Amino acid sequence: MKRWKTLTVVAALAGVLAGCGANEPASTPGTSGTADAAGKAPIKIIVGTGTQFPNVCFLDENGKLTGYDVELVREIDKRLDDYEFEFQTLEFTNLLLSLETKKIDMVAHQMEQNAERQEKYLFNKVPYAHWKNKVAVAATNNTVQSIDDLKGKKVLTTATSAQAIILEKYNAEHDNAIDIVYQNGAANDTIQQVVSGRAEAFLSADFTLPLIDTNNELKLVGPALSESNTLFMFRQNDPEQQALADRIDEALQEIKADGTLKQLSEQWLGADYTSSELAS
Amino acid sequence: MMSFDIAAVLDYLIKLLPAIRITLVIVASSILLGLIVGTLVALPQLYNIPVLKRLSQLYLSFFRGTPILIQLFLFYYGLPELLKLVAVDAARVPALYFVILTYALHSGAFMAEMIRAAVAAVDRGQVEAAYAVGMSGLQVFWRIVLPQAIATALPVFANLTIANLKDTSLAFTLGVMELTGKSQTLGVMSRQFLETYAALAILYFILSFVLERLFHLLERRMSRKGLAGI
Repeated sequence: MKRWKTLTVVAALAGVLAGCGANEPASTPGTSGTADAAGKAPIKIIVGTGTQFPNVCFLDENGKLTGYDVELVREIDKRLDDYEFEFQTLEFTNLLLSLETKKIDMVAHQMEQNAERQEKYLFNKVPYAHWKNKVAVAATNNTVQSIDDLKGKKVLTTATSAQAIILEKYNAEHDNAIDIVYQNGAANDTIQQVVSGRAEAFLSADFTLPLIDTNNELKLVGPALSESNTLFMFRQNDPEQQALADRIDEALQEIKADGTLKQLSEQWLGADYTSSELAS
Repeated sequence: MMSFDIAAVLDYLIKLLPAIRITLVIVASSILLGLIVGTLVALPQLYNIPVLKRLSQLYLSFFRGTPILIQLFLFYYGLPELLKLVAVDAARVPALYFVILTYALHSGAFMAEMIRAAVAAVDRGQVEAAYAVGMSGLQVFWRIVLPQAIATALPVFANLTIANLKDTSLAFTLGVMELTGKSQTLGVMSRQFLETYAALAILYFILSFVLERLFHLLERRMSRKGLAGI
């Protein structure tokens, strides 16, 4: 009987103690901010990002969170003394909900600016990349030349993404012609499904395709379906968030002006996608 | 067609090992808490307490009748909203605590039913005989009912624990880096998803097997030594 009691107490303690320390791997602290000239402690900002986007936000072989968006936020953190940025990794589809419920203060995941998102959220003003969405099909596919050829076919997309909104708008105007299949996370290996014929296509930005399609099994067809800037996202109607967005804009201007943004883009995305000259 | 890379499976197995810790923390904490919750919920049913019995039934209905994924989302996003009403700000509480809470409540529901069934399975005649011999209510419970109830409940408890282990694979949806969550990040750069899933399956199988053996051992010791075997 005594052994049972001690065992229970030990196990419970171990569980609680281990649980306290266990959440460390999930959030990587940003560079520690020192108190600014006024002597105030820096405001902590939790940045929500994903782990499934190669070269944009992912874990490298050592398990360290890195990528274009992540390194850009770290660079911004270096330049802003009054804020301290800490990352929290989430599923992409939970990012916007977590932003609304204040679990995170900012979203950094190559978020495109579009009308639907602008209604509910706040974007900063200085973009850090430009997207052109096109239809991506298997390299051997010659029947699909544009989004109109996708009528009656299966198209993969991730819920809550800008590409999903493009497809949904198309379906609203064309009597639900496209069979949209919602997926979650790269684990479903979108590329494999398109190549093997399980799905016909998905929508991709021009520069992200080479990042995920390393074996060149896909190609982009048709005209650009949308062109937009990628920005960070914040909550609307919140003066603190507006102040944060403005400060981030200041830092981004600096980063653009001294060439660091171009350097980051070339390092992670393969070329400079940060100027308004869009790659065709 | 992508070929299956066995060496990669081994590589991923080793990379996934650190994540076992979080998975086991979730399982241990939620099973322990679940046992406590389950006992509390089972008591009104066993002793027929009017209002609490109704509440127990509602609780059981909800937690056994809704999918775990929905429960995880409801608690992670919904509970802080409720807590706002009593001026408690839970927005920054790490997801791990919500995960443990949800799994504890979920397992608790099944444990409550297990406890109720196990106690009811003890022959009424045993209890009456114990009273006849002159034991007090507490003595009857500790020395007659509990050992027999535990013997009946143990296989079911083992089942619930192993099921809980596999259910923890859903925690990644809230951003907790347990086994499944870690595996999702491994395949991103190499796109070897089949290999990561194979490694995952092997790890879960090994963990379940170990748990199964441990419980088997426990059952054998209980059947020989009774409660002293725990």
